[in-house]
Amino acid sequence: MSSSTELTEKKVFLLKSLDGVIFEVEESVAVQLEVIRELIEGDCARPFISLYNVTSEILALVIEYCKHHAETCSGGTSATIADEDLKTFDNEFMNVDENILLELCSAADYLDIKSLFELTCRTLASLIKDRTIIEVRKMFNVENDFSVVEEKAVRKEFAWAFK
Amino acid sequence: MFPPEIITDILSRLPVKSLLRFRCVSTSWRSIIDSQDFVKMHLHQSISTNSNHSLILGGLGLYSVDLDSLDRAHILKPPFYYRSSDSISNSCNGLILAMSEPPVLWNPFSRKYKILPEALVEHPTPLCFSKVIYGLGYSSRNDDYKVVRVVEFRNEESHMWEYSETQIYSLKLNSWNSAEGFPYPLPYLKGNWGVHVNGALHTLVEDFFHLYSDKTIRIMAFGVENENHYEVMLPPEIRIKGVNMKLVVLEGCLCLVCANKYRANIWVMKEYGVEESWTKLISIGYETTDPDEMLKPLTYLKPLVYSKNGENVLLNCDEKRLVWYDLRRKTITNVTVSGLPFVIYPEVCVETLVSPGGLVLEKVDGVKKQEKLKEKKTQKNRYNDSI
Repeated sequence: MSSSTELTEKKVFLLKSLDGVIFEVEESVAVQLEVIRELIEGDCARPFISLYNVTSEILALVIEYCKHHAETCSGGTSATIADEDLKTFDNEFMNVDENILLELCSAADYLDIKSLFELTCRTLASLIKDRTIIEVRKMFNVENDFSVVEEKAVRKEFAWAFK
Repeated sequence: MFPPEIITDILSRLPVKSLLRFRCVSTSWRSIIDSQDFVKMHLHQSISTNSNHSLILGGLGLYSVDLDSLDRAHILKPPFYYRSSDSISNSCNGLILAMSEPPVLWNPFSRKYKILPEALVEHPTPLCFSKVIYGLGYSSRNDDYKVVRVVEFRNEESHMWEYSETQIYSLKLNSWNSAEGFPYPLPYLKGNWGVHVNGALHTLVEDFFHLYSDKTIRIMAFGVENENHYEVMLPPEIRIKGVNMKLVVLEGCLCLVCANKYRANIWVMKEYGVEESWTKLISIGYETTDPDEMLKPLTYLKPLVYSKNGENVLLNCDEKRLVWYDLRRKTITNVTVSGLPFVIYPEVCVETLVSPGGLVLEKVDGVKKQEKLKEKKTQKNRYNDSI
């Protein structure tokens, strides 16, 4: 990179959340969102992008995540130190209420951020691994549409898995 | 409601036991978990992230050790007739073959199993004794699991191999078919056949046609899809004389252990079938810190799996102990697993929902059927003895 481009202003994007809050992000952060990277590559990116499926609370977290990942990856630190740093950050980042975790997961899917999607799916999986059926239904807001007889039969097929 | 595609993604990261429980959450969750696409997605997820893996220990009795926690050996009780002297074949996508009579295809994680129909009876040859060897393989083109049964006839006195008869069982067809006999002998002692990589079973074959010249050794593969034999090249320019060689699988790659009293080299074929891709992964010798001589005798070393971060390899030493070998520091750390049997023959197995076709509810019938078959056999033997 020549010094003249370094001096030019960094390109910024304005992201608007579902509830109308506007976030200013640099290009290096915005491209972590695959949906926006595709817009930029297709030359369709306007400086102002509305994200209809993400609330400001979640978008703020998503931007925090992308910022940290963008900075760590572009910094001069060695790959192993960067890896360690990201691992620590990810672990702390996942230390949130499980409803937020669910929203983060669905936002990562909508915005197509592969690493965040992978991280949230993995975290959710380890959260529910040992939970009961009733707890899982409640967490994902799933209605039990089995009849009593059916549920009993399905349960019996792998009764040992409930011990 | 939470999008179902994301639910599928989260579920694909769970162990089998949780999945079998969560079939009860709702009818749509049950449909997701029972679908063939999900079974495959779950399998690939576990393989690509190196999670949901266990060691299945054969030998005397059966045990499983979860590789994520690696803390305790759990006794496995097969839901079918299994003598502790029977052993298990290689594993393949979560299925293993219990080499009982008749053999049983079994998923130890979903506990489903299928008793195989009786294979064709081999014709006895005078002055020969026979020995049955099994291998389990997967044919991706037909999405079929195949059991390869090789009956070797060896000379009663010299134990030299004379010829083999081969039968292949297809899970899809649920029947045995005769195939061309294996043109080479399989390792005489158990535990070495059935190295399943890339849809083929591999074995080391000593070139028995050149008895009087220098010993040569080759890797022979049997592709279960096309039922063909072919050779896989050894690492170039390796020493063969005075070296004990062993073929194993390490995370889906063919892996060769070459060891003598002083040094063990572990090679990995990073790209299947590409001779140039053989890479020396580990070299253990006088420079390796091993104050308690954990790694001795080196000829018994067997690599099992990489750690999650890829920095360590789990080694089975002396068929009794497990240690982590640090690839960068070249040091070892002892692994303490409670409840391990005295001798361990570990087989790395990925936890899957792959079904051997049978039903769990068949359990009682299955055992009865097996016992009946056994009874029949004993009667037949008695009859044979009396005439």
